[in-house]
Amino acid sequence: MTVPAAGLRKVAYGLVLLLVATGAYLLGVRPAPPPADDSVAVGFARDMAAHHQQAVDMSLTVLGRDPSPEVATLAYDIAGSQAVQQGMLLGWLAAWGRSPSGDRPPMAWMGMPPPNVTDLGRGIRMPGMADRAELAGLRRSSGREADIRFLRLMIRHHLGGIHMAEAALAGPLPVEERRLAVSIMSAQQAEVTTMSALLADRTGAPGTR
Amino acid sequence: MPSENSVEPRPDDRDVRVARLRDAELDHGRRRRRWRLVLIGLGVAVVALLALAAVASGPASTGRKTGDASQADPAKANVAGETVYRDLKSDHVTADVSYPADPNPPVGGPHDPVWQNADGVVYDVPLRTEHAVHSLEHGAVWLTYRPGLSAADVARLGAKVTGIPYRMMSPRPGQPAPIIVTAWGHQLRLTSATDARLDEFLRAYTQGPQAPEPGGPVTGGRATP
Repeated sequence: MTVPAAGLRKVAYGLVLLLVATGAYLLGVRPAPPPADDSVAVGFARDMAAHHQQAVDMSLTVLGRDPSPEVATLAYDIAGSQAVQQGMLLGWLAAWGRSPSGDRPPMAWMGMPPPNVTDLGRGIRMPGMADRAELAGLRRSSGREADIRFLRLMIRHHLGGIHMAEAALAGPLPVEERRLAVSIMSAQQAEVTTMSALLADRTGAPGTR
Repeated sequence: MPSENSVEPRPDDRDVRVARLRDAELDHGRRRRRWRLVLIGLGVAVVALLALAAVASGPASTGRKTGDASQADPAKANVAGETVYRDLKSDHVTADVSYPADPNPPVGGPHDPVWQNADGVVYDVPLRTEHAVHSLEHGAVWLTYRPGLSAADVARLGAKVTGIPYRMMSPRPGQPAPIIVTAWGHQLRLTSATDARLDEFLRAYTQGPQAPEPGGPVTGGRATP
């Protein structure tokens, strides 16, 4: 008895199909939501930006302390690269609508315990960072001594940065951020080698400390 | 209604049948109307979803597609005819480096701790390769030409470099093509200064994602060849 409705029914089936297809397409192309506030992507961007900030500061400091030409070049390189990379990290946070710093303790995204009271008292929040006394020592030194202090601090700083980049790469990251984490890891690894050689030249002793 | 004439002589039966037919007719109409409502609803839903799809696909796809020159995929060739090189070393050495004969100029490898300034500089004499390679590591594109190129072509190329950060240009005697553009891990050889692929290459790799040290400076290094 529903024969006259059969035509309409075909149209309806067609529409349902179109609906399903559109829905599927939508699911496929929908832009990914910004990473959550407690995600690895956001945690790494925040902490690495802060970590880079100290590297830039130490590099600019040593440039004013009459370093050797080799250390001056290296410091200029580090200051330039890390300032731009810090801008990339902060730019992503802004694009995601996330603040440059969060409520969670640093390194929480890495599963690391929050910094202890002693470290916080020394001004250290992340692996490899220099404390206030070490920074003051760098500011007071000059020439060969500035070279040595800078190299020791920056080698340790880089090792901390490599550790953070490694941890970030184990988690889900947007493609651009993953690319940066990879380059941070390999570039800083190469610079640690360079700095260890420069340090050995100046102290007569091999090693990183 | 043909059925009324063709059937049933008995009057009481006939009334019942007519009533039944009328019910069926009514029922049928209701069903028709219901289908129409369903169709309208579906139609509206489809239009709304299509509109949403159009909105969603717009910005999402422009930013993400790798074919877009501003989003070159460093692992692939992004310009027709370019060659991609992988696994390049990047250690700092102060001694001269013996780069392989091909590619020339080199697209990466060990380099001097001091980079060549590449903030839109046009050099008129050849560069020390060890410094130039360091600039590539920082995201610079190096445009080289074989001496003998016409002054007009040199000027045309220079206009694409002058004043644009992370680009530099220099002559390079003995290179295997009249014009070559090089970025870290990427190289394109050209025979004409008006080849449109030159602009594509410059756009894709000037401060591009191929740089192993993104953001590395191209100022404050070696200012002279």
